[in-house]
Amino acid sequence: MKTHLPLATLVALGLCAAPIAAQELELEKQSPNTEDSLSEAMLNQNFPGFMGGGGSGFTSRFDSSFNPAMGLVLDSVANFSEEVGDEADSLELRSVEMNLASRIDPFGWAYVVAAFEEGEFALEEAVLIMDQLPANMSLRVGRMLSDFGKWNTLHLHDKSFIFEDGVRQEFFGGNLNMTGLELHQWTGWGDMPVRWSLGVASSFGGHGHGHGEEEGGHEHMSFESGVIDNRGVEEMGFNGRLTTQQDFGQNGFLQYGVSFFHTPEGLVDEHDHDSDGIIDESFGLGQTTIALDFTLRDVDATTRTADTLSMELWHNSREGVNEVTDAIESHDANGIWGFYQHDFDPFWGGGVMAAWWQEAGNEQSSDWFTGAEAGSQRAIFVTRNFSEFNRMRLQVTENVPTDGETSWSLALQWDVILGSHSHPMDW
Amino acid sequence: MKSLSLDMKPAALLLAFVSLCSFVRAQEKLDIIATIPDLGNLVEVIGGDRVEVEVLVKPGSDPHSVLPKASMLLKLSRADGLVLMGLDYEHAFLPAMLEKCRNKAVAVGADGYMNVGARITALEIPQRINRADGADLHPRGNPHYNMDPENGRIMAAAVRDLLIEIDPAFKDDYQKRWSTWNQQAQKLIATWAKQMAPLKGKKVVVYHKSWTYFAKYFGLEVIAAIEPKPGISPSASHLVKVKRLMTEHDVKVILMEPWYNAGAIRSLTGNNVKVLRLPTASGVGKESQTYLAFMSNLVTSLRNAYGLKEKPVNEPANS
Repeated sequence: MKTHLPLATLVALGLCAAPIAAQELELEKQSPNTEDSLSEAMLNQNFPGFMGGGGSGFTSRFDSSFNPAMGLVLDSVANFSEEVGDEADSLELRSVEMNLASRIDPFGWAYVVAAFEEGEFALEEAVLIMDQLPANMSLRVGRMLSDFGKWNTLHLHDKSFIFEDGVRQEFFGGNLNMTGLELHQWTGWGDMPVRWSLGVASSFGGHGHGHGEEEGGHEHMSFESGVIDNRGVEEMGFNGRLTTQQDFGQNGFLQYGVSFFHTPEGLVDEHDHDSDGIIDESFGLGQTTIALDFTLRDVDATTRTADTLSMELWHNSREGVNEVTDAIESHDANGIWGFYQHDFDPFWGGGVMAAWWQEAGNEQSSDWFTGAEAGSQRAIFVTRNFSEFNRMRLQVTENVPTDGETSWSLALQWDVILGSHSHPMDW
Repeated sequence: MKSLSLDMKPAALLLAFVSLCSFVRAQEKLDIIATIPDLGNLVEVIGGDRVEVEVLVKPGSDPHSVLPKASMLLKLSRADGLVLMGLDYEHAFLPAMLEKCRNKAVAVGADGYMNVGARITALEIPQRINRADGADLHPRGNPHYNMDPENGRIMAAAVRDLLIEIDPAFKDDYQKRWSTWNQQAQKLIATWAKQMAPLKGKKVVVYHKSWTYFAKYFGLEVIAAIEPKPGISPSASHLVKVKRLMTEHDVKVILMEPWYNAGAIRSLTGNNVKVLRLPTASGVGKESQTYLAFMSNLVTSLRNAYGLKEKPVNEPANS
């Protein structure tokens, strides 16, 4: 994926610099006891490792407290498939993911997720989070998994199943990743918790491990941002999400959300009419994806059983170039996917996953559930958690690509987590 | 009496307004978040009608299974005080919410933040932190200190101090209610000590190491845990080892929380071995609604298991 940082970086730096400068100015205006006040402020913000102002000899700046929590996730998958191709049957260490997280100063923290996949190093996320903005707002800047739908911000090894859902794979090419910034806020409308986010991306693309994507499965239209000339607003991506959660039972919740991702002309389609290796024509294409999501999670802490039911309905509108007329046309496609998981206890769980989607950009996808070539995916999985840090999963998947034959596969996944871990808010 | 001059009237009105605001504020209840039912009960008893309590871990629940939910986050963001067990007891749900809620009143180190664990002499502090030693590791020591009734008194004092700190105008009320509770607790503790005296030295097996403080206080000897390592379910070979130890030491009682799978230890029962499935915090069943009643119920259950069937000690109604 190409990366085009400058504009997003400039905007991000401008937005970040403003609150920092304002807060520093405010701190300098405080009483002579500034250092004490700051120490107290540090405590109040749960800021580990702060050494006060004296250690470095400077009192007007914060000492570095960069002391990252480090973790490593080994994600191994053995896949036995009846598909044809060199990699139909495989046993691979799918990824080694390293993550670092640390508070940088009282106003922000950062994390990096880097992965070695298929022999290559990939920076999956590198995010600076300014989490002390007013009104419970926070700003995320950098390369990140977009806040789209309920599950996009989760790395694949954290999900309940082995392969990415087919809808995400079809419309985004995997988890939607972007370089840019996202503004988040959570608040309460009365007693109803609400969270929203708005983001702008200078570059974006899909990242994932779909089933069959490398084994001669259906070809995806490329989903990566590109630039024809100088980058303009129309080549950027814009995303947003609004979600709320309500209690369900003693220890569960119902969550609903709506998300969008839009780029006016951020997808580039290049044409080499005379096959001489020189691009004759380039088109900036737009796409819009909207998703509705619903998740029910109910944990019975008295028996340690849990149920999770989640569904997402996606609508995608993507532009394509008519090869005859060279006219840009927009085509709609829909997809729905979901999964149900039951945890018998913290150690054993199992569930089913299903997805159905219309081919993105297909000119016949005019109706919601008919009129175009459709793909589908069904899977059943069993998970054995040896501990919080050691998990094995067996999954049987039936995969029906939009333009291929039905195939079955049996996959065994083994995940090991080393180093630090945390339990983030799940919403 | 001479009427107020024209210039004085705005000041008087302002004073009256401020007084009214203070009065209204004084009448507002304090919103206190307690992480476990024991602490919630102590806040209710000592805070009286000055407090509204929200307990995050519902009675009878495994704290490791508690979901950090958005509704909790919202309540935490509006709370005046937070009282927690500490020692990583709330590791599964509290740190993420504390970080996100951005409520300075309950932030770490704030007046409204009371980590009771910091006042406790913790047991079983690991010499090393290693994943090989289990999944449910507590680097600061075993967090189930509420099972020791003397620690219950420390918990109550911590709650009193928290309320006085954030609501000093009602200091005398809090002090008085704590004092009453403390006297009742001291009497009951003395009674429990007498009642448990015949069981001193009895050997028991526990499922999880939640009974360490209870056993130490009452002189029981824990000879084995069914979990081979904290947070790890038992293997067949480990159960065989436990069974052998139980036979060697003539163990008659297994203590386990209701949320653990009793089916997994079927091979250990029989030969008059009793499995006591008891909660490790209050609020489960009408006989354990308060912290003192919960402790009384534990004592009674242990005595009954060993065939010592006297009447349980009645807890005073207002505790």
